[in-house]
Amino acid sequence: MWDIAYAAVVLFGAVSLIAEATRQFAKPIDISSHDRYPILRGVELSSLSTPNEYIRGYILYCLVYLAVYSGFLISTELFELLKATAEGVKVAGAGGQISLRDEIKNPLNTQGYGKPIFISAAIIFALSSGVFATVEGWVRGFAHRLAGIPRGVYRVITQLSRLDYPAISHSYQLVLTREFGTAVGALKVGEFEQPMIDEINNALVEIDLLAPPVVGQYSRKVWPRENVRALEHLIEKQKTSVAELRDALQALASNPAMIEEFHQLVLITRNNLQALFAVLFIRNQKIVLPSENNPTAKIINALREKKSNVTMQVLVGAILGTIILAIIASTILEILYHQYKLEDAPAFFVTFQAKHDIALRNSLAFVLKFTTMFMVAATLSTIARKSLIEMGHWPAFDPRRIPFQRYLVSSIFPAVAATLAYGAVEFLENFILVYIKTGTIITSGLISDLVRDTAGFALMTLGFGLLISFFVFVISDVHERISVYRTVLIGISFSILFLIWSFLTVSITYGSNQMLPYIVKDALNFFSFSFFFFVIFSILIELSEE
Amino acid sequence: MHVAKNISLSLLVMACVLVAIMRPSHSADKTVDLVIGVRTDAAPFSYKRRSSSGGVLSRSSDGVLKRLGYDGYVVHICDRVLTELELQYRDRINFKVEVVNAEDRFSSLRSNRIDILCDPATITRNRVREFIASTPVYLSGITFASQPIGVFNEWGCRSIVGFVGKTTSQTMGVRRILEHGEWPRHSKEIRRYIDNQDTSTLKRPGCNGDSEKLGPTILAFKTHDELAAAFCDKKILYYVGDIEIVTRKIREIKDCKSRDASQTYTDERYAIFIKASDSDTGKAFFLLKFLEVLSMEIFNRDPLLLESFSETFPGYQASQKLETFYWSLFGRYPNDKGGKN
Repeated sequence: MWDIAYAAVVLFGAVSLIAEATRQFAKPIDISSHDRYPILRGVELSSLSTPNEYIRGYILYCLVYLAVYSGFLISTELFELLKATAEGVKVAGAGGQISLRDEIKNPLNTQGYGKPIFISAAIIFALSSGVFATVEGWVRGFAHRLAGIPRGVYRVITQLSRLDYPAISHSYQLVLTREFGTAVGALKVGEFEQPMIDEINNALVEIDLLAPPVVGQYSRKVWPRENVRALEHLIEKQKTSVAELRDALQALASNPAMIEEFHQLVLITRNNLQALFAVLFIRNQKIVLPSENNPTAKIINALREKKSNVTMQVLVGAILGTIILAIIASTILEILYHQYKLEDAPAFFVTFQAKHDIALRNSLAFVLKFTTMFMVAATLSTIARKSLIEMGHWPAFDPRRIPFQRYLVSSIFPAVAATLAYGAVEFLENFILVYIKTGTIITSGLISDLVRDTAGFALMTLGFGLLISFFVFVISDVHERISVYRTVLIGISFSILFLIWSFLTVSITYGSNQMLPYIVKDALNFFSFSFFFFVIFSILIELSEE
Repeated sequence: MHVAKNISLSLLVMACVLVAIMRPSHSADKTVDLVIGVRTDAAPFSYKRRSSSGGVLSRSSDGVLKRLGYDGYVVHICDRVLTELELQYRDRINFKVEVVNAEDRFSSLRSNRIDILCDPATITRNRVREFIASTPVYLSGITFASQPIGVFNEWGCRSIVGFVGKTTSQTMGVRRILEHGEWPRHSKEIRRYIDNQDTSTLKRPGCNGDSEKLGPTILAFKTHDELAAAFCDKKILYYVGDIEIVTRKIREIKDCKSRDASQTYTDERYAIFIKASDSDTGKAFFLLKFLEVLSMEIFNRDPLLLESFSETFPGYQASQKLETFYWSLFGRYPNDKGGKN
């Protein structure tokens, strides 16, 4: 089927889809009405992201369209293949399909040149029309989130929240803060109200520092005019809010009962200023500041400092250490297994020399697959947790209310992705092996055999993915509260759970053909990999604590 | 006196004439022997059944072939027709069974050693020129089974392709498989072998050393039993044959591992072949009756072919091509409750 004409038709279908994706992607995203920063609603998409993030999101969005397109293109062949390999479905008779003379009658016919055009047009129509438009919106939002839109803004807001404002504001005049201090002196503040007073005070320090570069005259010196113009209506609105805050502060002295209302107003004004500052910063990261010796410059420089993601560093370190140790352990296990299989000792010495390369090859293949699975599950879990923290959907860990449900829901995507990644490496390894041995690239028989032989095991790897994700979430949440010994103990506990699941998996999926020593060898292989990873990760994350 | 003598003489002559007229002819008395050729190695189409104790299984309701221990899709069809013939012409017909193999089945038909060939024989142009083919009874396809991947590394100079000789696997199957781009690593060697008439002069590339494991590129076997045994003993890399036979044979041998054998490369239309007798009109009559009854059973309300399929392949689905084949004959599919005609 794959001749030049068909390839051209497929390409045309893909190009038309990309054109549609380009049209759809720029539509504004929907900021949730319960978002902490509702001021961002209505801000253009390109304002909420850096150019890199925008391009990344656009590419991801196009890839989703192309993935759906590819899926439909191969759907009929895939369906027949899966149908043929499903358990209990046996077929007798000549194989293959009867090609129809009139291919137009069946546009999804595997032989039809019209199939790609039909699918492409159908996707465009479906995603534009009422029923599937919500699906398209979801896909667009998903692509935005994957690219970090508007997560980039939230990341900057989180960084702004963590800056040391008292140090930044040293010898700088904080007008609102000073006025509040004076007003508080006149109020009779009870001990239960002191935390609220402290929070108001801290928020006012931030407002004093963020207001001038956002709503004050100084903003014209900091940000390029054309970029500020795009947000003018929001900045004007915020200017009014700051003025209202000033008025409320002045009224506070004569009406102390308004303290709680004032508290809410201060927090909202602070959040909105953070959001606007973050958007302005995202759009103008490379600006040259008029002066380096003022609070705005200090804030911008602090935001520009690229702090590496500690958890990702720990993850990479753990994987590297695990790979080395796992190769050694797995090779030893393979050699011991082959030694166990031999019946007479003298023959062992001859066979060892012949088999040691097989042991190393087997262990490398195993380590490659498990490294992929662990990397995908742990990386996606780390990213998911970080983004949820930035969006305010990941509350601080409370040992009295361990969030099993949140961990489980957040683990699903990383676990599924890890399973797919494991399956992809398994397939690739077999295809390469078959090509090296026989010169054949891919046959449907090979795919059927692989699906039949490995599908069960691949599904059980979902359990591995869930365990890895749970581990990352738990350790990341609790390590700062507990000692290094307890952190390592948690790692060891997870590896024991991994061992149990490994035994279950190999016992169920390997079938009755495999002897017990083979099952034990593989289960120990899996366990050793997980043990090294969990323990090294636990140690490294403890060492990284400030 | 003379009158009486004349009358007696006339009566005697008339009696002789009457006796001569009334005596039945030799052909009406003669019982016809119909010899059916069956296979022992072509399961699931034509093979010999064995019980677990080694005896032959049969039921009292079975036809002549099944009573003798033969079974299979084509045997089932033949048996039904033979049973009908037996019922209609019990005293005039006698059935005998001869075992044939792929190599001698058509020569046996040609030499009248057998009259009817009940095995999975593909309709080809050459065969229909010489013999009479029934309505097609099945649609299969040629496939190949491969050794597991781990074996490829140590294959050395053992034979590459094996098939049963004098079948369409030999004449057409290997070429079609090569045309589909299979066996790229060995295609040049295989093409050279099948194109070269004098295979004894061919040397296999890179195979001059280890004579123990050296085998010809292509090996032809007499029966599927020998071929399957050679495949499972790792003497050949690819086992070429009709898909149902290949998969059944490999499955019958314990611990025999293989890959592929899920895709077909040709369409093989099976028929029951008979050889018309030029001299024996009695036999020709019954051979014609065989074809007549076979047609009736095929196009019956409950088609014989579907019954054979259900009995031979329990729990199986017919492939799309086979379903279309059945539908084109009598408008029904296997496991279809209602009739469509």
